[in-house]
Amino acid sequence: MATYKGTKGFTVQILASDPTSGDTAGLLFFNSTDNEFKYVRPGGISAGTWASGGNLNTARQQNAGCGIQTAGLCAGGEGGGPPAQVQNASESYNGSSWTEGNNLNTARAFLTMLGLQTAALAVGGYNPSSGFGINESYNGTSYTEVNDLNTARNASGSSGIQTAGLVFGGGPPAGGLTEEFDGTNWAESGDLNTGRRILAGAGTQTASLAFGGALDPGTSQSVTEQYNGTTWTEVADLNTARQALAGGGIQTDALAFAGHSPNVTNTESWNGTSWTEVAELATGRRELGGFGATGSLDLACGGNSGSFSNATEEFTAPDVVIKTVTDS
Amino acid sequence: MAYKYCVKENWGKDFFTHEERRMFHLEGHPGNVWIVGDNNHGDAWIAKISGTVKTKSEAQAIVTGVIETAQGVWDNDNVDGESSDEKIRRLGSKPATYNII
Repeated sequence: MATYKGTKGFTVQILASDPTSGDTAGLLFFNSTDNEFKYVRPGGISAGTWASGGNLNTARQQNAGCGIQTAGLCAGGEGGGPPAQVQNASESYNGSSWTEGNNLNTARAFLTMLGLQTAALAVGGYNPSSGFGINESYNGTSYTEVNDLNTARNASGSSGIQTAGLVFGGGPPAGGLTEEFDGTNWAESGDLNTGRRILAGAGTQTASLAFGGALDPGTSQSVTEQYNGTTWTEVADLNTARQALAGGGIQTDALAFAGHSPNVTNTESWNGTSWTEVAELATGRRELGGFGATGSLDLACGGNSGSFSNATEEFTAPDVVIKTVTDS
Repeated sequence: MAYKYCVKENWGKDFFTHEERRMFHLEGHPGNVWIVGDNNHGDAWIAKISGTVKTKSEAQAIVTGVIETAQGVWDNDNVDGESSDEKIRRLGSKPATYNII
């Protein structure tokens, strides 16, 4: 009979903590802290799951977010009431909890955000009296109004960083206008092939991804397009057409999640070529904020899950999954 | 697959963990209703959060009640001169009731 040592070349190891490195996949070990035999299964995107994160202080929908899972930013939206009011509240996330910071200068819903927690832009949006091209720059402490979009709009997608940003789509009416920001000025670039609003985006100014959204008056889209710094090219569709979704990551490694109609929990992973269904959010919602540095570490915050939501969920695709050996 | 139903407000971080999501089915619905996979791990999670166990019909009634309230709010949220399409753009489509699993 084959032995473990004969197969692996060493006896069962005693470890004080669970390994996290991907090169330990297949390892059987004894965790001396937990007093349990465990084994290591391969991780990756198919092993990714959503766990609850700290709740927003202000429940809201039509909010936006940017940053990374352990250093995020959420601002604007619509909440309170009834009747609901557009929000100027801004909160920062440290991986566990949200802390209120200085507000946006202009309260608005359906804005889009790009960049990092300490160097972000809050672009466009609306309040009941008007649409906005307003653009505010955030330095980690406060918002300062900078140059407006050339075309005022709300419910756009975005990507990039504060000094090299990209805003695309939005409305009304639903359109495909794309503008690049160089840290000072906006310049128009190639339009999306499918003009739409309440879409999601990921990537950088010269390598972006736009996915989902809605045509007027509200038909959900599965269309995905990628941007090369000049033009948009249509690539493989989402498996589930939807609008008012969120996303994060880069052009070759992105995540699309939530949206409606109806509210969905669907999460799809983009590998640069196609979308694959992965683990679902616990709570379906629309008009949420979402972001992530890659398609493996993302965050969903706020939105509407039947009412204004303050819930946060964190998607993590681990390198390995630790399983405990049981006798049943 | 069999499910259990409970009610508990999501307190935030660690209300449900990655490990728990791998061990049992979990769905959140309006009214803080949670649909939980009926296994030992799901039972342990309900105990962890001190969830109030409901029957399926009780859980459905809570979900429907919250959505019907949201429908009323949606109906009454109007702006002078706004068309129906503009209202949908502003608020999203009117919340719809649905059946839980």
